[in-house]
Amino acid sequence: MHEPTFRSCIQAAGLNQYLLEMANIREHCSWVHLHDKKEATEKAKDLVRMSVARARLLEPQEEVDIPVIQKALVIGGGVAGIQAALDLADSGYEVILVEKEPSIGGRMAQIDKTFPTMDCSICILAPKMAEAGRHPLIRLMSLTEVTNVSGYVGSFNVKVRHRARYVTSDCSACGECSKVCPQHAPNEFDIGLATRNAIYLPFAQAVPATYLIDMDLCLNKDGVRVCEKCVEACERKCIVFNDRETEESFEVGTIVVATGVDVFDAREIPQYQYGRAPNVITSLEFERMINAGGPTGGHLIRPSDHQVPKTVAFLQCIGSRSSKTNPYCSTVCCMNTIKDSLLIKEHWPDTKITVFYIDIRAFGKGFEDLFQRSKKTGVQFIHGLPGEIIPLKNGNLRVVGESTLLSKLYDIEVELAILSVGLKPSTGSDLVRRFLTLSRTSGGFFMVAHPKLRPVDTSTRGVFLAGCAEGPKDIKDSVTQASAAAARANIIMRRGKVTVEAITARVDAENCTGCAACTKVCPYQAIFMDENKKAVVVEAACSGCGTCGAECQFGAITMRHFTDDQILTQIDAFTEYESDKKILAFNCNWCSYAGADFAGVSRMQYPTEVRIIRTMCSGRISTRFVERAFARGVAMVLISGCHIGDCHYINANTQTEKRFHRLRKIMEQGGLDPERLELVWVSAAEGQRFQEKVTAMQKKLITISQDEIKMGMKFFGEREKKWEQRRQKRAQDGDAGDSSFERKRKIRVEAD
Amino acid sequence: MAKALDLYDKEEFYRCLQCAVCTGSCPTAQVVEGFNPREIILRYMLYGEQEEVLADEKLWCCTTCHACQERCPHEITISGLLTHIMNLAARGGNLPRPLKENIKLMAETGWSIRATSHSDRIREQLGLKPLKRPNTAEIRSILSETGLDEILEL
Repeated sequence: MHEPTFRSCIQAAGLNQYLLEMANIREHCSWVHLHDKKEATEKAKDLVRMSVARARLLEPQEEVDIPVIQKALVIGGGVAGIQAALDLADSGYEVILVEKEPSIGGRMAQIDKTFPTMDCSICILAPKMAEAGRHPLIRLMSLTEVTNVSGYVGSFNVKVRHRARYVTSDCSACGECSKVCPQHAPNEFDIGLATRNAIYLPFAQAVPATYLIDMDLCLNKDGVRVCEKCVEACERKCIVFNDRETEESFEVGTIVVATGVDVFDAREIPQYQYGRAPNVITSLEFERMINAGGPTGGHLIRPSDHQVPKTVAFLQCIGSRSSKTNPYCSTVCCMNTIKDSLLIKEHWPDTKITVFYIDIRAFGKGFEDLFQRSKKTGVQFIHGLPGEIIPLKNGNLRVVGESTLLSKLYDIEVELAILSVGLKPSTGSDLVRRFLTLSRTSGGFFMVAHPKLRPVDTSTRGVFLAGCAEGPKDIKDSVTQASAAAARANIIMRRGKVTVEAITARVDAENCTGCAACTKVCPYQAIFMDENKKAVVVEAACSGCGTCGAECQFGAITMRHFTDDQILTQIDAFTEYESDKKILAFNCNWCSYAGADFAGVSRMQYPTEVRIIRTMCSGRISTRFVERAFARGVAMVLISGCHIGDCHYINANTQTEKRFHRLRKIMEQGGLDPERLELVWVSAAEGQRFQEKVTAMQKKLITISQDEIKMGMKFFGEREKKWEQRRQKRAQDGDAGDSSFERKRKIRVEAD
Repeated sequence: MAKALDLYDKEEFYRCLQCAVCTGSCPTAQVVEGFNPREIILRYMLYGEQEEVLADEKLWCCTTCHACQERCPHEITISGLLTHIMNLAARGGNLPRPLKENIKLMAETGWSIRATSHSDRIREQLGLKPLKRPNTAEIRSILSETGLDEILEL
């Protein structure tokens, strides 16, 4: 907690800040052992011994500055992506805005009105789209997908693929071409409610306002020209049938991910008859139908007979809040339905509207007012989703269920049913996640670095999230988050450099055998093998978790400021006296060390036997550290870290778990009691969990016999000796390439 | 009483949204006024009104068709819970009389509907073989294994 304070203090005094070492006597000793002064004093002495021992080995470290390319990439051209791109471009940075569809605009372009203000969605979006299209600093890439990103904050290397458009940017969108096109297909923008031609503009306000040809539909295939109607109609001669897919790569300093959402496929819930009964539609289809520019010219008609329905039912939570489909609340559907009900009432006030819901979540500013307005117009809200919808011969639908507030069954006949479908992460987002090494939350949306205090940052430096890619949200929240993401990216680019804390991994090429074990465990893909089969660390991408250092069996990786020697000397320091009465705990900086601090601040009392060693991540804990502790006669060892899924280094703690099981197996093979080694996940708020674990371990400790401890010393002492002999032998041989490991690797490679 | 909670993970029932899809799907609820699986979950599992639920004879109208369970958005084992509640109610002496009589009949004759001399005559006229008398010893052993004989005081 106070480390930064003291660091800046000694820095001001002219010393290198990395020469600071703290013995945490207060939170880890005096406050948690209030009633055992004698033992607490002994423990305090140990803590000082450990710190002094480590301090002797500390080295001054220089932090490295990495230059930042002043150019940003925005992935996704929905309202969030557009806003982020505009904010960044207005701040003076070059922006590349990549959109996989033929036009930017995203979901917001499809919606008729927005809640709670009821203003026209495309009317407020179109100017922003146009601005993004003509901004001198924004390069818009539509029909383009990001295929790979490598590199790190400051200089990401981005590869994109442009799909062929077959129409050049000379197109004035006059539309003469599509008038003569003989081919028709369902229009994606109208969710298939209308048709388009093979040469088409996705929608009137599309940006770029350039037509495109759907080659799957066009009659001219593989260079065979059977129809030239559009070419003849095009005055500006901008149709090029030999257009090809192209690839391009460029470098950017920061990335904003705004990959958006798809809607839930209502066919997954068969009892609501979507896809079978024509008069069951989704809320997105409704948006297109009620839109004046939509396929029905703004007339709400039911698909079966094109009549205006006099009775309409809305069904809420379709695909949301269910362990069968999406477990989360999609947050926008309640307000969307309320808005839709008002739209119907506005045009056709006599329509009888019934909304079947589980909970109405009208939590935002102005939302409750809109809800009340809807009720005032006579919209009926019934708590209790229908059990099923039964289609009738005349196209009407019987909606059957229970009104829970009346504890009474209902059986209502309606002419149109609208399913309020939930949101899910967009299909392309998984690819983006993989090459940006982002984490996901349980619903499949991207995870932010901290849910409260870093709500747009990701675990990958220089990558930020905007809009629904992070989780379902409405337009206002998407725009807010997009501006925040742009501001965060701006901080990095304005400084022009990023400082890397001097705790990153360094490779000693002489000891590196080229086994590549480190590259497999790095959560950031920050370590790779060069052409000489030596590991190389990309400093800017490395976060200093130390998982590679723990994995390296050849001592070729040095974790600066948390070196093997620094940690081993701490173990040696407290095991000088009565080690058989002590428990060694490894705590990770972010969760379990903070958890132990929390126990201290809360004065949670626990046994005095435990000695804590801090590492940045539990992934740093090498099996060698644990073996050394047992070889020195420590009774028990506790490994602790962040909960799986909460790791501050993406997923480094999964390696911790693997090593823990490996160690227990080794102990079993050595005839030792494997329960002398424990693992616990402790979050920063779970001081009590740490207290309980230590208390339970102390109870176990008093049952451990001297024979057991001696056996452990002997077993692990011998293992250490063998390890040391192997290391020396390698050093004598000089040529690391001759090690058995290397030979095995070669055999494996050849076999492959 | 504790047994229901042992058998069925209470966590599962906390997931219940009270969305009423179960009752809305229930064919029994359509014909038996007051039969309501949603309310049974609410009262029995969440409000702890176990005594009252067990005493309610309407419980026995459940046909265990599993429609509720099939459509529940959280895959809560509603039919399972109802079956268990019925078992508990029976053990507690709340087995409705017609059901009791019915089971007794099965124990004695092997049939849930009595075969009369009249039905034998009709079979003969239709050229059907006379009905075989089921093995009631086997049925009785099942009843004793499941503890039903005690409840029925056979």
